[in-house]
Amino acid sequence: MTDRNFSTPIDRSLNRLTLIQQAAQRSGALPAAGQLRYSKLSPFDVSQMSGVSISMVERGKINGHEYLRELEWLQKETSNRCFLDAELWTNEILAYLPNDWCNGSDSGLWNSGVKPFLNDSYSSISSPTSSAAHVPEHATKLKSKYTSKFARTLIKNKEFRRASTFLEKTMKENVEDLFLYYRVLFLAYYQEHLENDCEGIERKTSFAEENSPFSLLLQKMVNEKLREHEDVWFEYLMGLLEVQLGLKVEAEKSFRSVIVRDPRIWPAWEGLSLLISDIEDADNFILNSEIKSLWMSDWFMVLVLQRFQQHSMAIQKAEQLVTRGMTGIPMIITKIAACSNARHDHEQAISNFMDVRKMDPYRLQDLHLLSDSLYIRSDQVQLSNLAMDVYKSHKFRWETCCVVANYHSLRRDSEHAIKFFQRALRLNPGFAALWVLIGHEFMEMKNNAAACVSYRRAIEIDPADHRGWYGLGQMYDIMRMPAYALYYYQESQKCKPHDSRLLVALGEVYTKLNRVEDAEKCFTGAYLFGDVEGNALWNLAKLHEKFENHNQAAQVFEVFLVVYELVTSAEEKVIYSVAFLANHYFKTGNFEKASEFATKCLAYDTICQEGNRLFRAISNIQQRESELAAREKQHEGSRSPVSAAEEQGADDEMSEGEDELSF
Amino acid sequence: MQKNQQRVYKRSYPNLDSLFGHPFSNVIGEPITPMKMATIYVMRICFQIHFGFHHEPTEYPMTLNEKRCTFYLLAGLFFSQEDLTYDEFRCAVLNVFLDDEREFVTSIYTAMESIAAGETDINLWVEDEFYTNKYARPPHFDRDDGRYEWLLEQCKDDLHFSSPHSHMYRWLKRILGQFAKTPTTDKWELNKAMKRWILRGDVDNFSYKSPLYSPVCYMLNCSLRSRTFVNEMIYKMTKNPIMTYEPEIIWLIHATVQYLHPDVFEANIMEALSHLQDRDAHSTIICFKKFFDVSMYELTEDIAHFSRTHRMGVPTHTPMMYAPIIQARVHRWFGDLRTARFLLTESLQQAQIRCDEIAHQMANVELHTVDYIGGGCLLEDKTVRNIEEVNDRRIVRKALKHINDLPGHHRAGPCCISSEDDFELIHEMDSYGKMIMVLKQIAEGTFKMKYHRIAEIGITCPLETDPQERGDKVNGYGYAIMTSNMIRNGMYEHCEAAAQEQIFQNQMRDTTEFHRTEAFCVTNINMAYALAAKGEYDECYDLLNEMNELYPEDILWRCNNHIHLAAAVVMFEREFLGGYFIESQIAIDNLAPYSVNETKFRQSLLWAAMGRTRESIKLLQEMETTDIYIKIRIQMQLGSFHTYEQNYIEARKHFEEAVKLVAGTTFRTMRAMINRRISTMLMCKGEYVGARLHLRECYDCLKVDGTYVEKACMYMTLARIDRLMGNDPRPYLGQVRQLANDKWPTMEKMALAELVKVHMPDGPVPDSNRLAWACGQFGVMEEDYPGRCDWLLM
Repeated sequence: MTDRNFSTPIDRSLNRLTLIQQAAQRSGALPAAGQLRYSKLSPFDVSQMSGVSISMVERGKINGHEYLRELEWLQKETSNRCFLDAELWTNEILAYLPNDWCNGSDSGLWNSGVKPFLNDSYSSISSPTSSAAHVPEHATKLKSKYTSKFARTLIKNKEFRRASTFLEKTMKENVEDLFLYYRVLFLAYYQEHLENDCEGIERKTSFAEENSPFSLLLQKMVNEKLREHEDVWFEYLMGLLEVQLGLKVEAEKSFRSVIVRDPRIWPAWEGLSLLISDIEDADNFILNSEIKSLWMSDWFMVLVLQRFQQHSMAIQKAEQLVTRGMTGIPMIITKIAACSNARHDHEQAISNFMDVRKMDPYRLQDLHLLSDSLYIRSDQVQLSNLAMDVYKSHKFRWETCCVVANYHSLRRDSEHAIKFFQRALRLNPGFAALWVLIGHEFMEMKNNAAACVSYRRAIEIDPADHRGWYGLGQMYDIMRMPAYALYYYQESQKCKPHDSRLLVALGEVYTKLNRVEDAEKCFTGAYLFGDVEGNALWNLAKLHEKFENHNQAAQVFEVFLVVYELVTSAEEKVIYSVAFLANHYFKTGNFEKASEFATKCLAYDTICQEGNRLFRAISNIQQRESELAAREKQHEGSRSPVSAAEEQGADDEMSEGEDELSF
Repeated sequence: MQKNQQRVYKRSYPNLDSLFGHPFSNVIGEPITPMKMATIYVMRICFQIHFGFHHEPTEYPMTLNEKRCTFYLLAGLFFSQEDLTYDEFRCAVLNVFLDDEREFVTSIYTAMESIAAGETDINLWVEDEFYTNKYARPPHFDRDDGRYEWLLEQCKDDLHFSSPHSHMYRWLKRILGQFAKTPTTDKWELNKAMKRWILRGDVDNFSYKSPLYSPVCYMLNCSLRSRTFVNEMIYKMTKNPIMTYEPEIIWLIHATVQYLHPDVFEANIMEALSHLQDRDAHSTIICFKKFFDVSMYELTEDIAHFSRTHRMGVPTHTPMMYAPIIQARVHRWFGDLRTARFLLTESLQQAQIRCDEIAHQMANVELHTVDYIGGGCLLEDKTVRNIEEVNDRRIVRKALKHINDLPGHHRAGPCCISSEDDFELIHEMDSYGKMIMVLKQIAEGTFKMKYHRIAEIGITCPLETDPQERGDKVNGYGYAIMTSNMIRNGMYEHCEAAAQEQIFQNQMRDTTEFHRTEAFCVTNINMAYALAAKGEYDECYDLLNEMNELYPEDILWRCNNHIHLAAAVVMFEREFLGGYFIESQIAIDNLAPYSVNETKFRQSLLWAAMGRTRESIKLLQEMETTDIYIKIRIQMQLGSFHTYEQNYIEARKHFEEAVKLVAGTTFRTMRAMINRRISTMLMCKGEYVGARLHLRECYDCLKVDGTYVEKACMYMTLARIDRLMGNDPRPYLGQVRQLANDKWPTMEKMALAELVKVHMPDGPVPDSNRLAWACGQFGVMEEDYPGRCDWLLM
């Protein structure tokens, strides 16, 4: 059967062959007839081969000015709109701008009818010459500017090493780039140091043959005499390097010098607040150096006061700033909240943190303290909400891990709590408070050994943080080793001398060791310093009672009643105190006071009968006394010893039936 | 077919290893250097040459001689403290293997050069043959061939390479373990370092450096060596501190070790000992607390569990039992016995909770030590309390008499089940218990030595070896107690002999010259007392000076306290007997910080000699003590003072009281000394017959066991009685002069005065020539020693 569409089979085959050849030509497997394999193909040929039909009209050379303007516009827009990757892309292109195109021009592509290209020839497109010969000065400056911007974009994208190679080209041309060069190297080394640190196993054997990169950088800056440079930021950077190298004294000097030279540099204030040795030194520094600081010196003092556990004064100082006009700033409110947390004023702390969260819901700074306060207040609902919120938005921040861990801890899920604390420590291993909290969780799980090592870690990180010491002391105290725990309690109290809880704990240990005078001092001190937990007076009274100083015990019980009589949670203790005082005054013969306290006994069901008994006893005694007085008047001269003895015997009679409450 | 992978069991408990920074990973640490890498290559090639390569067995295994030479080479390379250069390494290898048909040297060079050229990287794969514990069956042997079984039988006791007892194998495992945990960047650095080493770069660059200072010495460059070094330092600091470094260097070593190897907790003990030498109790306690706190997390001994879970560290409660004991000891040394008691009670409680008999025993022994020894040089501050006074009924204390009863009486838990070490430790504790019992009896005056042998007091270690030196330690304590008791009982010759024996034993040591412990010091001091008792003051001073150099105050202050005490006692005796009261007062002032009772005794004696007898009597009467020995001495002294005052009735009362007190004791010479004083009193009173009777009772004892002062007084009493009874006292006066010659000049003068009276015309032996001679001698002595002899006060 013949195929009408085609000719004879031979023709068909030939046609097929032709088609195949043509297809091969199109695909480039075979060159076209009469054409060499690698000869230039026209765009049309190319489109024919690939099967995609587009306009492949050759275009002329790119107008350098327009190119420049276009990219500058894009740079500005991406920068404004925070498209960091696009900004980086743009700046990279600009950094490699051909020298020819570095001449500026006002003509714009979109605003005039100027042809976009210099010529419309179809000559081959070749890359513009990049010869550096005879490059005009302003072109070099422009390129340098772009390089500098590119480096800054790299810094924003945290590519520090790469940024430093570009800044090296421009650092000699302007001071800012010179500074940025060193700054970026510092950041690069710091990032590498953190990356190395996060490896699981500590590396002790290493082939680090050179000195630390920080010390090399510092040495370089010293050699170039950058400390004396008019740009104060160099000296600040050198201070940061000294901190990294552990040269705290030198770092403190550097920061002081920076502040004196320019008090507006807040980072220097912040760095100094971590290094300064005591509050008076800080105060003297501000006063004697005649620093003209508008408000930063006050905020610096707030940080210093907080660091040295003077939280009340820190709050006052912060509130002064608020009254001076700095209202509604989350940083200040958070600081006040942190100090309130440290003073155990958790209601205030929670309230302040909530205000900040309303203003800035995704602010994470110090939020772990909010979770602490909520934990202490056992507010599971709020803590749960907080944990969910932060976990959604910042899953891998140490503050989040801490909040979630506190949430699990409140739910008594210690295993999960430890897991999250562990995660937080992985992210921030140098924070003593986290070690303390994980230590508490280990204690909950009865893993005393791990708790001990955790507290010890906290102490090593920050010996001035009382919580590590207190945790250790508490651990040994719980293990019934008060003599061994004493040292730790003493150290914790040294860290925070005015914390009543620590004084109470110390007093209890002294009581167990039969050091009565020391215990008395501690409990008294705790009461004078506020008695946060409300048991200093009680412990003092019980101490005196235990060692049979009943008069002193009575005095303290009276004060206790004055303070806590109306406190519902202390009702049991109040009842005990009332009963003790009533009996004590009865025994010592002070019937007026005994009656007063017996009356108070009637208000409580459990000691109501005791009160009645005392009333009866008192009235019996008073009656006998009055009878005796009357008899004496009547028988003034003839009173017989026998009758006196009888009367005496009658005095010893007590009311029958009731058992005396024994103390 | 692929083997199923062994399932790894990871319990759902917190990974404390990662939480606390994997501190025990450094236990296997060994710094990896290019030379060690090359050594492993040498080892690998040796195995290949001997056993074959993969499936191809070798045709020319190494001979015995070759293996021996190879072993020497490898041992030298393994344990070399310094790295060789590549050239030196090549020379060492070439010297051993020479030009071998098996191309051993060529193989090594090829491997090294390929690394240097960058063609290959360092490769630490391990041959299968490394793990072979028996020889492979040669393929050409028949199944029935018994030679292979015979070979295995011959080799069954051989120490194979992959044995945990093989130093080489353990070294290899440490290197491999360290390499396994080396991060990727460090492996790249290692490759580069290897290349530089082979290409003859600077060898110094390859030594292990620390951030603190470079280079770190060999003994601190990994945690194993650091631990060994620190333990050696601790040993030397306890046995012979002179052989260690100065405190500043100790602290620097501690800082280095803590920085580089935080798993080496023992560095805290080293620092604590250094602070203790510095008499800084507070810092000592801080260091000990730190050690025990971090020791709560220790390296697991359960390797099977480790291999399943990959967790090296485990929590432990052992420090809770032992930490209070150590802290209590420090408190005791510095006089805070109350706190020491509290701490030891806590330790007891913990030991009972954890059923640890060793800790229980230790705490009990320490508690009794606090009660009977306290912290001073002499057994003066005995503060023993009734055992039932412990308030907490949960804490069960062992009475001293039951201290070594293991099977019964308040045992806290099983013991001696795990190791020989436990057994020795228990035995040591028992010995300490026995010693405290002995000290208690000595203090009560009821101790009676039958054979005067160390075995009665100390330990006789039942084992042949004493690696922990426990028997040696207790031996030292035993000698100290024995010699002290000899001094107390007047056995001065015996004491000197025993002390000499102990000095000789102490000097026969290899490691630390000789031990400078408090026990040895006390033994030597007792020898000094023995010399002083015989009147050999110069030898005594020489010995004390020598000891002052051997036990310097800045390091061995506890030993030095004994030396100062002895020096003050001897000085007082010499100066007082010479009539130098100012120097005597200086000696008393020197004695005051060390012993209250001895100071009071001597002060009262001096006041009496200066005519302030009332004050001296009042001082003695106000002394409060429970010690029987001191009570007897008080009565004796008061009796002597009253004799001096010619108040014989009072004197008699005191002597009778002393006689009553000594009746229940086992003091050897006390009774004799009282009798001598009674006889002196009776002599002064004019009752010569009674005096003679008393002297007869004490003569034999004092002649053998008395001090030379006591003997002189006895002979003087006898001489005077004889003279006053008209007999010739010259034999006794001769004895007095012989004893007092150059030691007690005033007594010698007294003897001459008696001689004058003897030779006077109305004396028992009138002789004008001898009289003149005696007067002349007296005159000569009077010029040098014008004071009188207060022998009646003695």
